[in-house]
Amino acid sequence: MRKPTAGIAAALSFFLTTAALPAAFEASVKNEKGAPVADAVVSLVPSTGPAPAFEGESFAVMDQKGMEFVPKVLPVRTGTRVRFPNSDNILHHVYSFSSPKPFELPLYKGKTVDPVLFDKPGTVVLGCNIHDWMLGYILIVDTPYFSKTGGDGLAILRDVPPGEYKAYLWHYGLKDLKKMEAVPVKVIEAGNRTLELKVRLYPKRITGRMPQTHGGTGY
Amino acid sequence: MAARGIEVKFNSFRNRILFYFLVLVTAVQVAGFASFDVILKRNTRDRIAKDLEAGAVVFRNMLDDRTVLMTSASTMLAGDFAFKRVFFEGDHGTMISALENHRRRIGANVMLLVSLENRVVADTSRPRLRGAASEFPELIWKAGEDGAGASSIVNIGGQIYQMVIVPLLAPDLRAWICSGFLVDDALARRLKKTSLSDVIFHGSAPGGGWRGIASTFPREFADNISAVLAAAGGKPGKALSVELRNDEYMAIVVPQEEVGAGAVRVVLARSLTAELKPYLRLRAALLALFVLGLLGAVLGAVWIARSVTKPVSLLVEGARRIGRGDYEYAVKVDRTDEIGELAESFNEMTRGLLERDRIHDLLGKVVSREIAKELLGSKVELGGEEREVTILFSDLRAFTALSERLEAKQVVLMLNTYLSKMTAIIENNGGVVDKYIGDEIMAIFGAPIFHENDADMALRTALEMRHALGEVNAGFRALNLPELEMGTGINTGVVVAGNIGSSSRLNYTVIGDGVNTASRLQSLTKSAEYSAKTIVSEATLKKAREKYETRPLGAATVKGKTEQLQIYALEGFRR
Repeated sequence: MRKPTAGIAAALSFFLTTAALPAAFEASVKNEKGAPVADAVVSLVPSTGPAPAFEGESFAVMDQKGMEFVPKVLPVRTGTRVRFPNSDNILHHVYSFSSPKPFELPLYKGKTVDPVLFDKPGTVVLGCNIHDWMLGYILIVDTPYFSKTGGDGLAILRDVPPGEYKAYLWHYGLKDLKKMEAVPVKVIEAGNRTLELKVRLYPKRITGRMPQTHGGTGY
Repeated sequence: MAARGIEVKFNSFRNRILFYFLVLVTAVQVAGFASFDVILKRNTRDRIAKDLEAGAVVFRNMLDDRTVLMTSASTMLAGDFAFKRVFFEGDHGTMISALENHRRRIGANVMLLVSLENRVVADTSRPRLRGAASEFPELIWKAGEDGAGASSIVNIGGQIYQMVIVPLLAPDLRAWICSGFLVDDALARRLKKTSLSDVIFHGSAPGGGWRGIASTFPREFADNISAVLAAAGGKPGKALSVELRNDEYMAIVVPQEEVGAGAVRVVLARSLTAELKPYLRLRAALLALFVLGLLGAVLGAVWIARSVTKPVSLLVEGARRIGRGDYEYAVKVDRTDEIGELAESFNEMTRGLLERDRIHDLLGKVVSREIAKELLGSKVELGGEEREVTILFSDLRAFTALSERLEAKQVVLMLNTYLSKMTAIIENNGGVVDKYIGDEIMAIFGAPIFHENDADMALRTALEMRHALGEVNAGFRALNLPELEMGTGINTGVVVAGNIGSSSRLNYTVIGDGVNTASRLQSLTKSAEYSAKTIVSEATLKKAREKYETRPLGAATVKGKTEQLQIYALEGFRR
């Protein structure tokens, strides 16, 4: 086995912005070749103490469309209830063996199932018992400050109060989804900073997308 | 006959034919038999090579398919939701028993669950083994490269397995499910049923090269074939002839994509002897045909030889008989071919000889033997030559009158008795009876063959005839027949001797004065004046070398002759 080199490669420069409080924080995630990485989750956890307590109810949605989980990656704050509607006209059987929240939603259709509460931080890998290729991730973080990169590899975190933070990067291509290295960052008033992060990703046997080919494998 | 220094001698034509026939037939048969053998072996070798080369590709596909099937079966199991639950449940005993259940489902020999870090989570064959590194880290690493799994040959405690690794997805990659299928002699035997070839699995030996790990052959044989193949420098996919256990095999290394440490290759082999077995019966039949053909050839040769030599023996026998004078013998060959013609010619020749012999015989009876010889020995043509001969005439006195008194039968008896006796004396003394003129005899001495003592022989003949007459008369007296009286005249002179007559009928005779004189002298014996029974001329006495008792009778005139000649009465030999 090769030596794992997962995690954040480097933290580079910070930019100050002149915007008013609270500040917006921007992270740019690239792979080893310098290409932008989508579906990476960047979260900031205050170094000084726990994040502000979560109040009220929060809901998120993990849909199933065209026999795929949409979105593929769903970051939520601890205590969020996630709805699992099924937009396909066939049944799905959502399950997870992940330790933060093992659960199972046996064959169902539409919006008939109750939302699932994710009250522990960590990664929940979602699967469908009848469609091997279906794969989704719910990342539960203990902070309100998180964002997911788009196709441009940029994740923008708004309304982050100035202060000392630890920046975490998560991606399903990490060698070990449980191990996230932290990068200390400082968020200042009226400043917009871009955090550049490099990540080494590993290919996955399952892409989470429906196979385009029909028929057998040739045998 | 010299054949490569071997001297073969035949005292019989039959044996010679027999010998060459057999040599020829045997050579042809042996050549045919040998070439059949060579061609059969070569064709069988070629056929097996082609079969093996095609079979190797099929075998490769079969092995690949087998791997795909094993992979598919393992993958199906890996997707089992209940098993995934068990995995997450973490109860080791349950996991082992679930794995065992899966192992039975797909017919694997061993099943393991190995973590992504190459730690054995559960092993059906070694339930207590937990947390130890697996024996096939390279395969685990290879499987992890693309997360798709892998397959390879692994050695676990001396047992060789084909290990198929598939990922346990729950729903993402969590562990490796490893299904091991034994590569053993039983597998080789199973594969032999479909490939119809002996199957040998070779594993790479620690010191390089290959050693047998499973085979339809005994183990040391599987090792040997590896050495022999290496020595023969065979390439995978190309069939080779190898000598093993006193048998010839065609062997081929099944081509494979990668060969490295821990690799296994498959060798297919077919025994030439086994492949040739169906042809052994054919060969036995050919051998029987060969023997039958040889026997037929012997009989044929004997028959042909006999058909040639039998008539030849008959001809030889015929020739021998003819040599002994048996001209009546005819060779019996009832054939129309060349030998029949030869026999026919032979018989014709015999008939010719017989006819000639008869003529010879008859001639001797009609003419005297000397004349017959002369006639047969030279060309018979008219004409003559002058020869000095002595002529003898002999006549019976008053025979005509006598014959009138006797029966014809008695006359013939007396005449034949008399003439036979006299003729014998003449011929014994080298004389030739020229002709009988009734009871008169004309004899010649000196023609056709000249003798130095012709005159003496004539004189002696006359004396012997005289003596013989006494004996003849004694015989006649005993038969109460009258006695005969005989007068004889002898003269010597030059005459013309030769074939006289016409071209179609001629006589060898002598003519001339000498003849007439002799006849005249005979007539003189009738004269009482001379009282002589045998009168000879002076010419004859002059020619004679011996001495005779003679009585001069004076000069006599011979009819038709002017001069006289001295004549004598012959009394006997002078002692």
